Amino acid sequence: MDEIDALRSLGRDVPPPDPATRRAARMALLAHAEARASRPPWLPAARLGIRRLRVVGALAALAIVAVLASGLLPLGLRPDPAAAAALNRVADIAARQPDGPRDGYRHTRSEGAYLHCLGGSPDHPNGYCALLPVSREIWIKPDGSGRKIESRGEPIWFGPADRAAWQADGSPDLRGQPSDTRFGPTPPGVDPWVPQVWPGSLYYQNVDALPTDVGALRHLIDERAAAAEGATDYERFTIVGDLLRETVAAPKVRAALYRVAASLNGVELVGSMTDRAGRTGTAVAMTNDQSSRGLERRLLIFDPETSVLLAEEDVLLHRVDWLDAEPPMVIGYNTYLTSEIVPTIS
Amino acid sequence: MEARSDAQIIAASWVEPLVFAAVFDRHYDAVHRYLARRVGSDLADDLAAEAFTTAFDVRRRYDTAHPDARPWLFGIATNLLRHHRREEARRLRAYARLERPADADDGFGGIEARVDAGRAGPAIADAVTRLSAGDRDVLLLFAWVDLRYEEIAVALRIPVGTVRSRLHRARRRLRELLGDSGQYLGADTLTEALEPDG
Repeated sequence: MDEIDALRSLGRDVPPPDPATRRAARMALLAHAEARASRPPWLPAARLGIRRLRVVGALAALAIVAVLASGLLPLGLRPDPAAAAALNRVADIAARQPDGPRDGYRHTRSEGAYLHCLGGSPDHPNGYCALLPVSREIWIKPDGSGRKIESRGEPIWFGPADRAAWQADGSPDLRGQPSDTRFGPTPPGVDPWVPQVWPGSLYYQNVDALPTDVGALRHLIDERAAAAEGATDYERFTIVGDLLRETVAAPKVRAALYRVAASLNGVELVGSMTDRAGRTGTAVAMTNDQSSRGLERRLLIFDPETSVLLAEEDVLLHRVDWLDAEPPMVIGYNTYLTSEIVPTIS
Repeated sequence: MEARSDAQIIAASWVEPLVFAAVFDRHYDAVHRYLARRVGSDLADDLAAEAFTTAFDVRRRYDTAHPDARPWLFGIATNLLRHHRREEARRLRAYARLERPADADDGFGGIEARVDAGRAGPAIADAVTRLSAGDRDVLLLFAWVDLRYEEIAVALRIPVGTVRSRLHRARRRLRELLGDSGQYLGADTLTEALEPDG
């Protein structure tokens, strides 16, 4: 027997993974894969489970003070009566709209871009990052069946350092291949509210099953926020965005979602804003001081006449050493060009 | 029909991400076992899950010239351990405190060998704690995962020559340490570290 044999005897009786742990890990992987695959990939990293670092939180707290002092956040983290009024006004419009047919596919066509980093993160400052444009068209039924078409465009570089690092890495293709995938339904009995994922199906939150009572809906959103990254109003604001995005929510549900957003501390009214498709809408925003990326702001732009969500945008508000750009930097956006219910997949 | 290689599955997951679950199904238990031996089962539960989500995120960079994904996966798992050296040291110290019962069926064959293993186990655990992190990674991928030199090189992204030298150094150091304690009873096997790759 040699030292390797002796070494091999160490810990070889370690128990196999518990089946429940294995199932949970598998489900987490699938949820992670599906979150990256069927939802807009520019969602904040914090929602995908990246740990929040204490030091980042402390730096973000300092940054908040600096940003408040600079006037970027004139209303700070207090409730904003103007934002609440704008959101309640569009909620009133939605509540007066008739319910159309709900059978069929929720069809959304969008153009966006997301932050794509290879090795570039607060922990790995020597990588590079770019905005990667994505064109996306999706048809989803509440049963999870549907079709998704995606293609990515040429990277948009934040600055010459990122581009040079990419070239030094051999200029790898960041676009990947365009995809066109069809999906089958989820198994029967799946809770439409709980975000579960099944291989071969799309993730869909059945917003038709949501309560239209604002208090009941707020309670559900509170529960999900607590189960996700923390019961913060930013998390609640993000969930409202999740439930408006690619769901073609019924008018009364949409109204309740806007009223929940109006009740959140920290929502601010940005005002009239033109989206990247040239449409004028009303923008509200919330700033997140808990992101692992630092201080960032999310904007929702909605049509004040139709109550439809037009666009979303994520902006990084402070300088970071892993991104070759000056703040504020747009690190993700999506513009919803079509949002409708159709009987068939075209 | 011939089963698809890991590389084929990973390439397919570039288009259809959920097929990556097949990689999990094949290798999760082995990755978990490796991590559990190094840092204990509780932490291994978290790290094994993190290893596969990390692997998913970087799957586009997988070199499909390697049909077997194990070196890549164990490399990711090993990388995650960098943040948990203290837990690993505690785990190794726990091994060092353990005395294997002499009558346990340890698979070494004869009673003499079993006694050797029982004696050497605690000492070798103690010796492993004294190795550098880089040498320990190479040694444990070799001894616990049975990766070949080239595979360890892929896992740790180091040249094969570095794998050889680290393994050589680690084994020599182990033997020195065990010799100091008087508990190492095996033959001189230093040359095994220099054997041709197979």
